[in-house]
Amino acid sequence: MDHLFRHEYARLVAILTRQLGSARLPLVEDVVQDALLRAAQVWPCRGLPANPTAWLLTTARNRARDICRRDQRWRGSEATISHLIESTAAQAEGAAAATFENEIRDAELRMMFVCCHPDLSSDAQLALILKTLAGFGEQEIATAFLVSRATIAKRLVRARKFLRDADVSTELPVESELHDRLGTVLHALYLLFSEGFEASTGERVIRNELCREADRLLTALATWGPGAKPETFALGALFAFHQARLPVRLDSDGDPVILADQDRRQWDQGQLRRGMKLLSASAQGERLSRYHIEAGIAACHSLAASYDQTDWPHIAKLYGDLATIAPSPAVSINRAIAIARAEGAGSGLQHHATDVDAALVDDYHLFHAARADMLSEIGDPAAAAAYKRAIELAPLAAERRSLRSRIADLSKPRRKNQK
Amino acid sequence: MSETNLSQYLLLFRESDDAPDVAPEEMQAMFATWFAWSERLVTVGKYVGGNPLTEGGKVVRGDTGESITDGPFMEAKEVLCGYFLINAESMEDACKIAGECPGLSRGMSVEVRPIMEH
Repeated sequence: MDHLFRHEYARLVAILTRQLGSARLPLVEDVVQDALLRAAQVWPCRGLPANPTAWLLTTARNRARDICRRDQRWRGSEATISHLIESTAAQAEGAAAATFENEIRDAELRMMFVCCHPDLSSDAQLALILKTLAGFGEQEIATAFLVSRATIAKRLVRARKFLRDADVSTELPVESELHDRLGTVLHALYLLFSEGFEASTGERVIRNELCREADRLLTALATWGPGAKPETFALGALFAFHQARLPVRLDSDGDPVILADQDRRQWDQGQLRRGMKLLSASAQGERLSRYHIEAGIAACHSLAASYDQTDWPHIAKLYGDLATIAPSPAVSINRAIAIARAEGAGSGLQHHATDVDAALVDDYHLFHAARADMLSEIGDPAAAAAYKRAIELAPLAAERRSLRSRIADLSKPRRKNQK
Repeated sequence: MSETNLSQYLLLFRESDDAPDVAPEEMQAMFATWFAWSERLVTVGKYVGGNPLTEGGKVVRGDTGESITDGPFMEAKEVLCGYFLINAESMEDACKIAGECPGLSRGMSVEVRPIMEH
């Protein structure tokens, strides 16, 4: 019963979009919404139908036919829908449950490629995925992304208009296009997961669900023949390793706990095993993706008995690899931190100074926090100023608290070798 | 009915206006509370039947039904949106049941009408 309506919404939108085409997505969303609302009102009075999905599907299709008869906008769709109702009504009754589930799975995969059309912006892709494939409401999406509901509504309207104008196909990509199209979908799922995972303000519950949805959709790709590529497995491994840490990522006050301070005994062993399995499945083919490297880094952390016993030289090397195929200031900062752990803070500081483009990240708190930690370790008094700058920029109260306590530690004779 | 000493009552649900865009999660919450309520009534043998009503309809008037207008009562603040037929021990009991209607917290009103005995 958990999220039944949300999941049914997504399944029905996928099936009907496949049957009616992505240009009719607004109609599809309306009728599915209506069907669910009807279910919410009728089922308490008359009890649950034997097959809720079939009930909803029939209700949505009949509603679509009614709307097409009345609404100018959908004139011309009536024949398609009537035909659909006649041809599928009998079939839906008779179809074995397994066949029906397969049909839904197929429709969801197609919907993933529709939502991740390469001409849509990442923002639009994520909003579409959450609305159609995850069944989130506009307000929920807005809460997850910390933007206004109106912004999300506009984003969705534009995305639907694009699908309509471009009449985006609901066919699965052909072999020659598969690599690029799959790459776009994986990237969108990666962003979706990161959005949910990164500690930022906002609703924890909804953010965890972003991770779960990204993982669910990824699993659908990984279990679909053409989607089961090394890159897909690598991204799955990354998701699994990160999810293993979810139980201890926040303390009892809901504040983020940094990796060094997490109780590793509480990491989810099932997810860690799953991560390792996926990681070894990803080790085939000749192409090393950023997901492979990031999963490798996460695996390295997962295998370490403690923060100090982590294989830092290996992590530093992996961040170096990552910097060559997916360079970003955050990658360079993390590389400098790993080098500081592997070779000493002095070496880390050198990399921090030369590899990171300070102009790009001067307003990024972790840039200053990492430098401050390393300065503090070699006893450089400049650490205090760097901490202060990081405190000014840190978005979360918990981070500011942690940074302040590190400033206080500076005056103590000798820092424990902890972080 | 005589042996259990129950009488029938009609609960009429009226809603001020429907929320335009309800997210699936909210619909589920709505469904879950209504379902729990009706299930409870079924379990204690007090639920007889019920139905939601669709919006709109017609109102027929005149000696021969010649006047047919769009209804019901678009101008009315509250629109009839459904009904339950229940068994209850008394008007008090019926009102107590009505008071547990999950729609109340969403601004719904419930009219309790005894079915005339014969």
